[in-house]
Amino acid sequence: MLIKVEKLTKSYAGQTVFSDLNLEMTKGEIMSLVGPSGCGKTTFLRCIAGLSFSTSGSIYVNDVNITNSKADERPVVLMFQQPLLFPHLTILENVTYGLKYGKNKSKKQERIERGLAILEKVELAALSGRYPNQLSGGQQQRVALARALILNPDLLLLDEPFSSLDPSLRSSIRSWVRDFLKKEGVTALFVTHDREEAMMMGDRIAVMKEGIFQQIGSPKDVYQQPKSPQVAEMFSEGLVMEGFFLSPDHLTLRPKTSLKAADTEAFDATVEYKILKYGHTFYHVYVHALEQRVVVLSNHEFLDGEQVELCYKRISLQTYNKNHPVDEGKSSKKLSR
Amino acid sequence: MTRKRKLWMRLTMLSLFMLIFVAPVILMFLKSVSFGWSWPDWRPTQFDLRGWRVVFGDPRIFSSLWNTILIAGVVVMLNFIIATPAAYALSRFHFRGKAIIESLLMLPILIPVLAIAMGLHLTMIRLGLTDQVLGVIFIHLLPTLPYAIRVLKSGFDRLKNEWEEQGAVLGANSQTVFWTVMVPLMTPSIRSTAVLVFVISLSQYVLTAIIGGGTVSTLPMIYYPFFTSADEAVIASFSVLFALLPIMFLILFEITLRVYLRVIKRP
Ligand SMILES: Nc1ncnc2c1ncn2[C@@H]1O[C@H](COP(=O)(O)OP(=O)(O)OP(=O)(O)O)[C@@H](O)[C@H]1O
Ligand SMILES: [Mg+2]
Repeated sequence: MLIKVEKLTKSYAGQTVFSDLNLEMTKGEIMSLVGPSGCGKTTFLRCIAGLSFSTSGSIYVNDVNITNSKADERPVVLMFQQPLLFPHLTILENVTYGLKYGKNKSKKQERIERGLAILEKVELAALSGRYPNQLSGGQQQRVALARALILNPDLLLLDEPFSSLDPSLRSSIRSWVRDFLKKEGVTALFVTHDREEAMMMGDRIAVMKEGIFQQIGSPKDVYQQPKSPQVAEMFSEGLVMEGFFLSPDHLTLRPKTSLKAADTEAFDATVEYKILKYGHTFYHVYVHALEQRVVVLSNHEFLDGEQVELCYKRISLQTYNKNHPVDEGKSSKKLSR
Repeated sequence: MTRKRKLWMRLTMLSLFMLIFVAPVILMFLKSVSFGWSWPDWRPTQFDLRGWRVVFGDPRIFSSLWNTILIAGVVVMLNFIIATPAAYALSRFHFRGKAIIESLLMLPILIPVLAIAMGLHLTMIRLGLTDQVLGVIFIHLLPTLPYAIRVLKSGFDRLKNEWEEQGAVLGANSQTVFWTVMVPLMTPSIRSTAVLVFVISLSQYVLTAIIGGGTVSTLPMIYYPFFTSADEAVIASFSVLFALLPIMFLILFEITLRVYLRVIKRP
């Protein structure tokens, strides 16, 4: 394992932010970390980077225990939400800062060569002599990325690096960054608020809530088979019930009048509005019994405000813990309340 | 319309600035090189370097100029050495008694410095610090340090902690980060501190007189007695000399700063 975090706990003055976090990452893996605001994502990254110290637990990089090393001695680079380019230095000087003042100093000629090479890679070599305030937000983030990657860190931590960018720039730069990280084989831990971004960037996704990792798994697993109602609420788009979960791919809409098939259950729902996307019609419906909203794809035509039935096969109900279909008796008992 | 108004605004500001800051210096300079320039003549009628001759004719002038510059220079340096860590600690850390320390630091500004100096005088006699430059340097810290700490602290307050963290994360140790990131970002505060301290030290008369005991002569020591004379040209010459010192200091300081940044910046 390249990265291993064991039982990491952090508390501020008795107030626990997170406890007993375990995480393992292999080389070249990109992990997305999602969670609601204030759940401790930034704190977690800061502990790994050495900017704050954990209360207990240990962190290993390449089997070396770095739990008590100082930030500048760790083979880890953190990219903040803002690019934080040093305003008194040009782009090239910013990018070579770590090579000049870091622990593995290299010769001047080599610094400049490597700096220009990495700027070439982030497609900014032409701007190497400019100052940060002469660059756009996206360009600044790319420089910050270059400044981090030139150090060949064992682990790159990214704390919502795109959240200060506007949506269109954001979506173009994140796919660019993902391709770049993959091409360079960089191991990265990526914090985001955005579910779509997490799925797009991460090979795996870690869902953090209430100070623990609720689930760590591939985007598909986390999306379709959430391990707790918290994960389901936050990450999946299905229906969350006490004890059970319905994945959105198992939901269908039909007019209220039709008859029920033997193996099918239905909720009463109201169509709130519809949107057209990717050549299909998606209905936003409100499920009265669960007080939840859900988006369902349908080929039928429904009107806004129409009463409909949201159907699912009993067999597609799943529990959180075991992730396999529930036997029928149990599910109907629970739902009949 | 708005562009015109902007232009007017600028012109007004510029003329105000000239009127308040530049005009007196020019006037003073003219006065120092003129002879018998008085109402109702709108310009000097006769030029004469007598004022300057008197100033530079004083046998103590060069030694006191040197003393003044030496003292002010060392006081500026000592201020940075003492005030920077103090200001940093006050800005970044929270500890018990911080508010008390901060108000204690303001005391030399609130209480007449003279009172404190009188008290310190006895101690300094015992330590053998009186009647020499070292003692004067020491006593000049009294009216300067509070300002230096104040200005530097607000400079650190404005600088986000993230700059230091960014440096650390890139592998630079805290000392390197201080010299290569903090100092460049703090230049406005550093510049204000330096000039403020220099000017305060420059204009000390009473403190220098008490501790220096007349042995340490600085520019104010030979300048103030001339106020009793009615010779306007001499006073004007002294004033111009006085005004030139901080300006020259600022220029020198600016050059040093530029050179420093140049060295830091190499890729
Ligand atoms: N220096 C500190 N002292 C005390 N409590 C802190 C400190 N820093 C963070 N916290 C607390 O730790 C918790 C987690 O904060 P953190 O910044 O890690 O959240 P986050 O998941 O990054 O949130 P967001 O998504 O909004 O950025 C918060 O409740 C916060 O109040
Ligand atoms: Mg955060």
